[in-house]
Amino acid sequence: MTRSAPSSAFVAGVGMTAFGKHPDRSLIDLGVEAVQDAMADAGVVPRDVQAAYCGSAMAALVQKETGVGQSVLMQLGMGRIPVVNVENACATGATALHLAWRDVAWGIHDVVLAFGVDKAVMPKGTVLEAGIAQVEAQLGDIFPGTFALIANRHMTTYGTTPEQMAQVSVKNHDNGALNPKAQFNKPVTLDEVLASPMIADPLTLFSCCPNSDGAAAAVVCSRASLKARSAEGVEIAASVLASGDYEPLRDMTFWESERHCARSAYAAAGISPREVDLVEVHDAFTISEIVHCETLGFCAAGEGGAFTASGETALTGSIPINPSGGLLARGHPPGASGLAQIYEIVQQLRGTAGERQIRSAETGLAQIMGGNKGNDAQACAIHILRNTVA
Amino acid sequence: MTDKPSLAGLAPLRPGMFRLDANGEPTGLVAGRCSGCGRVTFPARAGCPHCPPGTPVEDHLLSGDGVVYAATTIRLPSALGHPAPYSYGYVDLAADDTRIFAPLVGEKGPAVSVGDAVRLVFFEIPAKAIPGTLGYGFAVQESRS
Repeated sequence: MTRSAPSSAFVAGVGMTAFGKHPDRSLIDLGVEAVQDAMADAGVVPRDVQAAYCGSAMAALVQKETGVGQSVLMQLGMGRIPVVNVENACATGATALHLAWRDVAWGIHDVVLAFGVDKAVMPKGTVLEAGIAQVEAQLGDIFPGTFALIANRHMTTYGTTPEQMAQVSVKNHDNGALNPKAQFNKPVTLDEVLASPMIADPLTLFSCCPNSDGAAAAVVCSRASLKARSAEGVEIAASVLASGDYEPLRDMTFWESERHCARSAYAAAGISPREVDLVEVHDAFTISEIVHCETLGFCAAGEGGAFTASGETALTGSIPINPSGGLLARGHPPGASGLAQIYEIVQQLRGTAGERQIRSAETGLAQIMGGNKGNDAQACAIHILRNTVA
Repeated sequence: MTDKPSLAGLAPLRPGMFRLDANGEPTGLVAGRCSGCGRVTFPARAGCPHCPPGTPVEDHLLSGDGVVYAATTIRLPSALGHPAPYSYGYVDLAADDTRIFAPLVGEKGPAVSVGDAVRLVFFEIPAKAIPGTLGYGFAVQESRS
């Protein structure tokens, strides 16, 4: 039995670099920019920060670099504090935030930094070697394939169509075109998505998110810390991290880890899906967003395709999903994506999202997951943020 | 009798994963079966989440007949150098009441569909990065029109 946290924690500030290709900038340089932005946004200085969690899913693998957190903070003159480097596949950044939330919600610290950084853009003709020690990978499994199998089951079970899935990519590229931090700022058409090269049947190239470079950060503060500085924050109403049950015969039209995570998160926040105003989800592949619509309770199981095609998840729909452009258009540095979702939700709740601004946004939900184990996720994280008077 | 190349001498993908005959040729896949509840996992897991800690997991020879539960075809080479196109998915093994990950081999090219009846086969994994490795897959048994 998980006990509920004794106090509230708030996101006091966020920062992120533009996502995309940064061939001339180091991991450390990107991390420094995001951390500086988040601290300035929160109105804190280095000596205020009592602990830090740094997520990087790829640095040890691609750059052969470890201790990224300490390397970034040393540049900013931040030492002595506990720093933990975090890896949890694509849920890495959200895991760093979850750990920062724990520290504050459980009264260990008042000001904790969570940041994430990756440089995952690979030289042309090479692929990321993530997870290649696993049996499935050695038999040929690649990430697009694991999601293609979910799509295959969803199509077989519910009649979801390639056009409905492609609509996710069209919508998210439309949103990305309004986001100056997004990797892709150009709309794509349904035909372009469907006609782009097949990667893993039924997923085409434009149905898959890119590997990107970038960093994002959030400063998590206690109520007392906000009051002391007369500052404002967005309340973290739920922060849940889960893994799967990995039952061999599970239904592969959805992720069990996400269902479990979603139930816990709604219970922790004391809300139902109807009370959510906007959502950022892990649309690593188009089918993912359709499944997340269902598992997060915005439509019934099997109806995610039709729900997406109806426009309900667009910026002007009843439940906007991925207003930032999502992983498909904003880009996906795995260590940073979970925190980039938080960046977007904070902008929306503050009313500072510019052309992407959603009307009367009071409660936002971020869902991200990563890794593959028995065709479920290794990790799933959900954060629910809301505007409250601190 | 077809002239199949010998697979004896290849390194198993994981120790203990294959049942071998007297000549070292693979004849079956070895899963784990919980001695408490009978649940089968492949590759074998160390313990069963449904039974008391320490309940032994025993070797269990999987049946070779399955039905495709989910399938995809990959159109680009993998990081380990599996040449494209190739297919894989999950196969239901009714006799074992479990489902396993498996490469899928069609009659003509890699096309395999949900519901296809498939049979266990063995081969050297065609990935450049792990040469000499004994792998397994499931091949389509019945023609689809």
